[in-house]
Amino acid sequence: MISSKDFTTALYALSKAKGYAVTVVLTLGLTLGTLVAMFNLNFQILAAPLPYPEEARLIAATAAWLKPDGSINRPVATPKVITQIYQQSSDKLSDQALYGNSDFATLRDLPHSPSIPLVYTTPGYMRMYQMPLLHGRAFSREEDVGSQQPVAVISERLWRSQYNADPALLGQKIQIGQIAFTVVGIAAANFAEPKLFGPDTVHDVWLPWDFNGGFQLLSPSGLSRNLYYLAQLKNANDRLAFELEVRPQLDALFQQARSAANQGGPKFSVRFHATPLRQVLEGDSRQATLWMLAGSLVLLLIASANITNLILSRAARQQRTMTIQAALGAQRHHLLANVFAELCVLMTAALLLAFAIAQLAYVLLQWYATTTLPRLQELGFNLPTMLFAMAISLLLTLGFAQLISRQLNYRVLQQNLQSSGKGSGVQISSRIRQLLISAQVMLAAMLLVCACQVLSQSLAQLRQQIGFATADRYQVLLEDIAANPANVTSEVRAAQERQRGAELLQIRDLLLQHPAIADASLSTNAPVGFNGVSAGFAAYLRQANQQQTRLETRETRTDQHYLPMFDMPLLQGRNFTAQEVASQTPVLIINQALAEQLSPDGKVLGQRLYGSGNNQAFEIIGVTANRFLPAASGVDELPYRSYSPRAADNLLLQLKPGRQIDKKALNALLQQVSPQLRTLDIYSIEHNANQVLLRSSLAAAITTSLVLISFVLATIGTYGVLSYSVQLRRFELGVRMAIGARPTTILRQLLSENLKPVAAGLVVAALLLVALWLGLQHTTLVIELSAGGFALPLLLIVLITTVTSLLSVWDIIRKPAIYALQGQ
Amino acid sequence: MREQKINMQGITKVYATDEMETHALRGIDLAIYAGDFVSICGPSGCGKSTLLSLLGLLDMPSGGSYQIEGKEVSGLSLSEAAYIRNEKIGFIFQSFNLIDELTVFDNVALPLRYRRQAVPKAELEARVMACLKTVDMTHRAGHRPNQLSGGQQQRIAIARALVGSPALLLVDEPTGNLDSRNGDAVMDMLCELNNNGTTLCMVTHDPRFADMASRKLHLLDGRILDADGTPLLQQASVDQQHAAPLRQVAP
Repeated sequence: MISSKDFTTALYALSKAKGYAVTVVLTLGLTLGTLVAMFNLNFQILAAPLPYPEEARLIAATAAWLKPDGSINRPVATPKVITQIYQQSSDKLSDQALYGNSDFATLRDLPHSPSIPLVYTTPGYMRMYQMPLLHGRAFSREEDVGSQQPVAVISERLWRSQYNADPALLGQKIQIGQIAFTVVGIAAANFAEPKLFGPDTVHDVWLPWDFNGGFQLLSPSGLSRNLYYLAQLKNANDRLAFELEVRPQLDALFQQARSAANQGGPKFSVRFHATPLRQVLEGDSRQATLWMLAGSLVLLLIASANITNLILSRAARQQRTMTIQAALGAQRHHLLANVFAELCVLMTAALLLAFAIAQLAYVLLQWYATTTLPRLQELGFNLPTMLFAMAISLLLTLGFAQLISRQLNYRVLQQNLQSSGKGSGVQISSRIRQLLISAQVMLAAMLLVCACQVLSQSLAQLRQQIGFATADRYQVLLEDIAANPANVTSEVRAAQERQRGAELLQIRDLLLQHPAIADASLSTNAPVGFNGVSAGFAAYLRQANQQQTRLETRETRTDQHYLPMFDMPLLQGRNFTAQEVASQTPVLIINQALAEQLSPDGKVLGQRLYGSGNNQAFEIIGVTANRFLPAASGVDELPYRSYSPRAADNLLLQLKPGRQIDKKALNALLQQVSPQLRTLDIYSIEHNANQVLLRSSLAAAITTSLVLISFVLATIGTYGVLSYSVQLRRFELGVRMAIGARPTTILRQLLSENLKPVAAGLVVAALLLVALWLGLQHTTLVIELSAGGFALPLLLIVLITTVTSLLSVWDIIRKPAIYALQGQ
Repeated sequence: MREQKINMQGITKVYATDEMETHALRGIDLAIYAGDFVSICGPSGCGKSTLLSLLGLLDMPSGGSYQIEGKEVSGLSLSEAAYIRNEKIGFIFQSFNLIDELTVFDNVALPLRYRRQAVPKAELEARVMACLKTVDMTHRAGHRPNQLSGGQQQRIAIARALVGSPALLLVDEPTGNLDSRNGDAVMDMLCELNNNGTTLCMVTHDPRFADMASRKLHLLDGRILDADGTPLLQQASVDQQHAAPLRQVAP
């Protein structure tokens, strides 16, 4: 039985071994904290209940756009067709809602026209997710699809930040675009909005579905990624039945819409998918978070192995104390109680540190990973995580105690007593020592090699030039506040678009004369947009009418200013001319990857590609260098890029160094050409690119930390095992010194002896790494091996061995031989 | 006149901790000449082992002068002390202190392997085998220490001490871990070595073996006693030891 005296003694003993105590607490605290944080992250994402009632019955449905061969072309939804399905309803549902077109708009009733995130929905959304309201009410059934009621629910955040929390706002109107919406409700700040459009997407305004202008403009069979059909099933087991019920209806409506619009080309279809809400919110994070959990578990195991060596080393040091205790009549369980008390003190400190580390990890995750991982805001202390942390701590404590208990050889202690303190000391066989060193080196080498390989991959990605200039380049989002009636003829719409195009060209030319602006371009997209999107999709045929020669590109429609503005070099051919842009001549500039796909030597000037729908021929007039920006979250990325000559409504600006331009100045300039155009927002393209690169930076930062932790763990572990080995040999080394071995001789001997097990450990590690590499060949993980990722760990291991050999024996060789002989 | 191998004058050893100082040796004057067989005896805690450690350069004195064959060794670095120990001193420990992992041959060869100048292999083998022959253990050259009896292990330890042809053989309770028969055999061996010219300094509790030495020194409270039981050093206080005239113990 452990007494309080045991704990007092343990505290005193540890205060006399501060280095040991600090090392154990830091090592275990750091790794246990990481494991606890990763456990909590996985618990939140995979197991913690969603903040909605009866979550098992909640589904989020969308569709997949299928190629003629049945393969999925892209996940999309068909807003108009799904609206029809919504209106038909199903007897398998107890509630339903449409939810989509998440976008930004300006609040025009406020003088500074702030840009706010909004989304369109139906009353069922507020019912199913039990939106709590601070004031007012949610959408009523009378404000459902077709009612044309201009009402709005706004967030408490918007209400406080833009309307000074004025209760009188309820019933008043806010102006969004051309429409004035009556505020009927203010959603409380504790509303857990389902993050269906990405983990960091929040909305400040909810508007009725009828005012969904973007979708209204789509053709009946038009596609969009920006829509969910949300539903609550009467019975959670009906999900597949509901999916099968809707699937043929949706495709039939889609085909009807295509026929009505006389859409030719290949026979595309859509397939309805009803997915459990949890799965949609989880996204593709499950694999990543489980890997993170596995990684942190491995770290803890390695740390435990290292701590084992340290504890064994300490036990060897304590042998003299234990001998004295045994001499005074201590039984085995007395000695174990001392050991266990000491372990309890260490583990308690490590556990407290682990909780602090976990909190820090939550902050870092919420800081850096909000765009990639869901439900991070919910991370914090919770009972399952606390219990998990305490269980792991207890397991480790018992494990270490068991280890020492096995190590504690009571008979040897008795023998020590018989030699009256002048005994021969315990000499442990070199085989056991070398096995320990080999095992430690093997662990350290594997850890360092894996970490260094990942690090070199991340650094290579970071060092890679992205392929276009970003400094002083800005993306300006324009808002057309003109009314956009949905029921105009295509001729009228084409005339409106022509007029808008002419106005935009005038605006660009005006901007080019502005003293702060170096260049301006009108494009469909910036090289990297504020939402990570860099271009739309286009499909071409390599041979006319040959659908099997179809290839997809990421296409930007732009003018002659785009490529020079972003310093994107033309490797072959020429840029667009102003005339080609004005007349939308069917010519293309493509990137090097596409050129090499079309022709192995990359010489493609003059070749033609054909529109996949209408077989229009496009002549290739230029080839640009490839760009190397990783895909933003959730955005499809293709290696092939094309540019066609056509000015679009995305205004891109290059400012002169040190100059600035604000919304107000831009609006004043826009007003000179069209009173209908307003600046919605200005984004720095440099910032946009950095956001996309953040993942790589984050990966590099994490792996750098991992390498550092690995290095520290490897050092601690190697020091522990060498120190243990030396402690076991203290007497033997004393004898060697007594018969004339100099300190340098002892050090040299230790180094040469240690190198053999180090080499053996490295060989075993190499074999295991080869096995691991072969294993990974059967997974989707892509591993690019680098020589540096092997050389650096090798150097580090040799360095660690040399330094820790010196450190472990320093205490012995710096004193006269009598100290070692006397076991001091 | 015989060559002076060891000359200690006013040697002190103080062990200091945070709370107190322990004076293990309080001014030792000691001369040992070639061919001497000196035994040191005294009660537990009198400083025998400390004196032996200082004689063997296993530890350094806190004060005083210590010369081996006329060379001052009291202020040597650890490395220099190791060389002197290797070349001038041989140790025989109570508990043999052979290295379990090495064979008998390698144990005996160890001092030669620590030599400043590497000893040629042939010479090393010849010297090791000669020493093993001296202790009548050549037939055990390939064995490990744990395959030998206590008496045999001590004979190997004697061979190891002799292999470097030391100026002085320091012997710490050589029979302490042996039965009387093996103890007698070891003592006979040591006497024979002394008769052949080896200089010996032995710490022992056993008066029977102490009497076998040509000179007996009694230690009490860190001082060497005269035959009548009074300390040879007459200084009033330990503090004055360094300044006080020193008296040499006559052979």
